[in-house]
Amino acid sequence: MSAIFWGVIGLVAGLWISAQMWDAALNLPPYFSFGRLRTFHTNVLVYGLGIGAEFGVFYYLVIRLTKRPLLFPKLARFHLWLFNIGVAIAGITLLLGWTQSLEYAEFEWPIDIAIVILWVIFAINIMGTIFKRKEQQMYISLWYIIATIITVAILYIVNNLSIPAGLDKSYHLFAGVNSANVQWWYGHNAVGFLFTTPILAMFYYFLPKSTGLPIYSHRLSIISFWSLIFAYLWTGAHHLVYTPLPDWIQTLGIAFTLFLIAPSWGSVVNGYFTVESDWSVMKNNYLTKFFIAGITFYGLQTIQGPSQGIRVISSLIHYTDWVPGHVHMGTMGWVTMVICASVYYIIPHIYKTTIYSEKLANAHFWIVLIGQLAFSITMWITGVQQGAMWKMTNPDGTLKYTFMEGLLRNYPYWQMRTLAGVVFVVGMLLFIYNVMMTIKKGKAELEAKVEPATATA
Amino acid sequence: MYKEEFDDLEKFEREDTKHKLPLGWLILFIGLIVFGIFYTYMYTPAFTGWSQSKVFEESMKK
Repeated sequence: MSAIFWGVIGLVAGLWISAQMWDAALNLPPYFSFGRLRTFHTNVLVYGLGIGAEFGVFYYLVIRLTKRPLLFPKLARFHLWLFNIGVAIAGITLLLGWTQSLEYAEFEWPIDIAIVILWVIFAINIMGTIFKRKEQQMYISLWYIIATIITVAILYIVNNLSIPAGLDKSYHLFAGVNSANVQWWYGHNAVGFLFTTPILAMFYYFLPKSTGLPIYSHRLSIISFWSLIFAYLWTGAHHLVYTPLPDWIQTLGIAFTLFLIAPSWGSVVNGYFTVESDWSVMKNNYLTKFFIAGITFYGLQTIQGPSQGIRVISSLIHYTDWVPGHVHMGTMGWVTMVICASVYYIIPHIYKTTIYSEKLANAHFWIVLIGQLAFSITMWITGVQQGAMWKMTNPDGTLKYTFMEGLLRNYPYWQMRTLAGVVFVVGMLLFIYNVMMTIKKGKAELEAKVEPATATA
Repeated sequence: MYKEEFDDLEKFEREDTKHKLPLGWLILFIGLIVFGIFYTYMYTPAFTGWSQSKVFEESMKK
């Protein structure tokens, strides 16, 4: 039994490391064209770092919350290998220019089939373990895990329905406005169910674990969960404001989007109230600030996001650089913060040791925070400037600025953004170094323990 | 040998406030539902006759 458990542990660690490797791969040399590299960047980070970490952390959480080992540990190991090979191959196909031209669903149909198989393997293992659980009550994190698994499966399969035309080409089953609507139903919820629900599962588990403070209100977490799940799936149309999509679908999408502030803030409030019972953990426990900063950015993100859906704001900032600012606050400020903190928590627990350096972890936190803020803020400024310049007209109704004039004004901000990105990556390198050293330390300690034992035997 | 660690759910949830919903949050929650219904009514062409193309044409007249 314990041998099996070790197997799973090794797997979990492997997953994270692979995820971090993918993250470092973010700084690819510039000899690939932007069009391909951009999809490569989003897909490798979403599917490599994001989902990779989620696979690993979910296996870890499920074992602990159901009080039993994984149903199929060997399958999990197989899953790990398939995942790593899959991400590598998928990344290469993107660079080769295979694309369905659907944002966040660029992979062509052979890769899609592989992803579905991968997801089914994962689902069987996690769901099977949850069904055969030894703890009656299901903690909130398990609900978020289940929602992630089911919803992603539905979204991914429906949006990737397409008619193959050769190995590297296919046509979307839906056409015109329908295609756009299905695509953004997928696109928006992919963010929701890969970057919101799984990260909340981690947040609700690791915040009480690392601080020792119990979650403020169970009812608040459950109500937030169900209303989030209910409302999320209706919101995709807010990406298609002022398009030929029927007005009523847009309006409904916007209404549900605005409603989402409530369930999102349910989790924010719950997090704050949990730590409010003893704020000293902010100072004494280095992980707390990752979670609190993370949930703060989640809170800001979930106000900014819905307000972007409103027609008047959308007309100003849509298609500008505001949008990457928004996305990166979510991914760098919320997703990465919480994933890093979770990894910091899990690695020493698996290797029965302590973190290699808390100081480095603190440095990582501040560097990453500065990098992320600089990134988002520069993009917001330039986005608003861009939108305003596009909209300005002369008294006779002609445009005041040409497109080029607007573009040139972006350059200083784009340079600042690169700088911010470098700062962020330096922070992440510290993180990877710290985790590697912790693993090394753990292994050394384990060997030191084993040796005397064998000597006496 | 390695022993699996399991978690005690009782340590995760505070007993005294387990069923509480903060008032401010509840107002936000219900308020947004009410607003959502109102908003959907106001901006659905079939209910109020509002439409994007109408707004656009009006803005072009100015």
